[in-house]
Amino acid sequence: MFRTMSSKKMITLKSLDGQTLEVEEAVAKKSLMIKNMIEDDDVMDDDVEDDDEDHVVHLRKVTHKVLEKAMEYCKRHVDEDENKVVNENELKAWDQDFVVKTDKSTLCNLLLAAYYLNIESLLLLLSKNAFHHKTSEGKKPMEDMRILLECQQ
Amino acid sequence: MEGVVMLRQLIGQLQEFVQLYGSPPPQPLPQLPLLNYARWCSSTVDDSSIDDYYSFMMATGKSASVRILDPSKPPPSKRSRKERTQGKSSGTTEPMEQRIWKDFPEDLYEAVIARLPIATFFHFRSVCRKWNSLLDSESFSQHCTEIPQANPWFYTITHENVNSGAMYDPSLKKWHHPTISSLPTKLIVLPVASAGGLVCFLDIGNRNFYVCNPLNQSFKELPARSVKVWSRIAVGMTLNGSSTSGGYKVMWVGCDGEYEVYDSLRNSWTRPGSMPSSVKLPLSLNFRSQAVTIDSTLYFMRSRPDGIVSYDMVTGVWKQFIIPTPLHLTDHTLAECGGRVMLVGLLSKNAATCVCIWELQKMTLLWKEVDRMPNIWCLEFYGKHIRMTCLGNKGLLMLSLRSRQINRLVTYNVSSKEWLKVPGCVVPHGRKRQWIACGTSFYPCLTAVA
Repeated sequence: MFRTMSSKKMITLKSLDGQTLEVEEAVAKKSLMIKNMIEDDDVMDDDVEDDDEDHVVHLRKVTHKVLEKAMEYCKRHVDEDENKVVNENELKAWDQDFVVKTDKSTLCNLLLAAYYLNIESLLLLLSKNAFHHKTSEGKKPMEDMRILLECQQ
Repeated sequence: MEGVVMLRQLIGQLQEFVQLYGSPPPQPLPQLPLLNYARWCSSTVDDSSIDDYYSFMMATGKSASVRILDPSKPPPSKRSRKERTQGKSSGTTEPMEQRIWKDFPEDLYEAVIARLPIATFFHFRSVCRKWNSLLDSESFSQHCTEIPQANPWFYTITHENVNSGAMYDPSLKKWHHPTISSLPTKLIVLPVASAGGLVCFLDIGNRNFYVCNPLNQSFKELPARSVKVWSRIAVGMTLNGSSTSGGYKVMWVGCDGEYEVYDSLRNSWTRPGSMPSSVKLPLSLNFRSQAVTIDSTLYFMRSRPDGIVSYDMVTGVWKQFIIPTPLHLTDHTLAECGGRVMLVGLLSKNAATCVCIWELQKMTLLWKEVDRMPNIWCLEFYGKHIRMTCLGNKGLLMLSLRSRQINRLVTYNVSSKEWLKVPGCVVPHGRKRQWIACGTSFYPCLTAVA
C-alpha cells in the first residue's frame, strides 16, 4: 500500500471484542504497557507478517468503547511528552470536561483500563475524581463511602 | 448563649473563607464542602484538646468519626431543587458503581486511594478499618512512592507560635495546623531540611536533630552527634533510594569545615573525613539559604569567595565552585528545579526593590537572570526596607516579604514561571494573619517513615 513520506507511524490496537482502532505510535505509547509490547516486538522482529511492519497490539482486557475513550485522552495529552509548550489551564479544563462528559460506568471501566494499560496521567486524573460526587453531597459522606466500598466500619 | 457564640464564630469563619477564596473554584474538587464541614466540626468539639481538624483525626483515629458525626449536626440548609434531583440521580447509579468497585482488584483500590488529594484521604480515613490500616500497608506504601511528584507542601513555623507548625498545601491553597505531639515543647525547634516526605528539625541551640513526617506523625529523635559544635551549622538531607524504606541521610557542616553524616539504616553519625584543601576555610556559609539536593548531591551557598560548595552523599566528595554574586543583591537563597540550580534574591537599586530569579549556567559558572516578580507587585516595596525569607526552595518557592507595614507571602513556580499570592495564615479561631518566620518545603508522602 502506498504511504506518503511524511505519515506518522500508526499502530493497530485490537480490543476484547475483536474491533480494531488505529492510532499514532506516539499516542499509543502513552500507555506504558503498549509501549513495552511494541518495543519488545521491535527487538524480536524476525517474524514480521506485514511488509509495512505494522504493529497489531492485542488488548484482551479492554472493550472498544473504553479503548476509544482512553486513546482520546492520550491524543490530547501527547504533546506533553514531546515538547514543553502546553497551555496548562486549557488542558486542565479539557480534562475536567472529559470526566464530566463521560458516564459513571464508563469512567469506572476507564479507570480499570488506565491501570491495566499503565497510563499514569489518566490514572491520576480519574483517581482524583473517583470519590468526588460522594464528598460533594455533604449529608453523610462517611456512610455513603461505606456503602460504595462495601466495607464494615 | 453558647449557641450565639458558635454561630458568630461560624459566620466569621465563613466570611474569612469567602475573602480568601472569593468565588468557588472552577474545578469540581471536594475542597468547598470539606472546608465548611471541618470548620463546623472544630467549633463544636472541645477546644482544649483539639488544635485542628488534622491533629484530631490523626491522634484519635477511628473514634474521631463518632465524635464528629454524632454531636455536631451539619448546619441546616435548604437544598435547592437542583441539588435534590442530583442527589436522586446519583442514587440510581449507585448500585451499578457498587458492582464495579466490588470487582476492582485490590491493587487498583490502593492505587486510586494513593492518588487522592491528601485532604480527601484524611477525610475518609475513618470510613472503615481497611482504609485506616492502609498507612501501615507495604503495598500501599509502594503505590505512594510510584506516583510522580506533584507540588511540594511547606512546613513553616510562625513567629507567634514557634512550637507548632503551619503547613501549606499549594494545590488547594489551604493552610493546615498540625500538632506534632512528639516534638519537644520546651525547646524551639526549626525545620531545616527535608527528603522523601520527611522533615528534619534542629533545635535552636544546634544540638539535637529530629526527623518527622508531618502527615502521619512518624517521628524519630536522632542520636547525639559525636562532635559538639555550638556554632551555626548548615544541614542537608537525602534519601538513599526512592523511598524512606531504603533509608535516609542527614548531614551537617560548620564554618570550620567540620561535618558529619547520619545514616538512618545504621542509626548513627559518622565522620567520613575532612574537608579537602580545595574548599577555602573558613567556610562562610550562607545560613539564610537552605541547601539544595539534586540526586545524591547537596549544594550549599558560601561567600568569601562567593559561590557554592557541593557534597556527594554517596562518594563523600566535596567540590567548590566560585560563582560571582549578582550586584545589589540581598537576602539571596539557593533553590532548585528539575536538576537546575537557581538563585532567588532581592535586587535593590536606588529605592526600587524587586525579587529576581537566576539560573546557574553550568558551563560558565555564572548566574543568569531568568525572571522577575511582576512590576505591579514590586511597586508596593518602593522606598521600603524589605526583608525576604525563602520558606521552600524545591521547584515551587515560597517567599515571605516583610517590612514594618508589609507581610506578603507569595509562591513562584520555577518551571511555569507563575507568581501567586498565598492566602494569609490564620490559626483556627484566630483572625490575625500570622508572620511566617521560617520553613522548608517537603514532598508530602502519606507513608514515609522516620
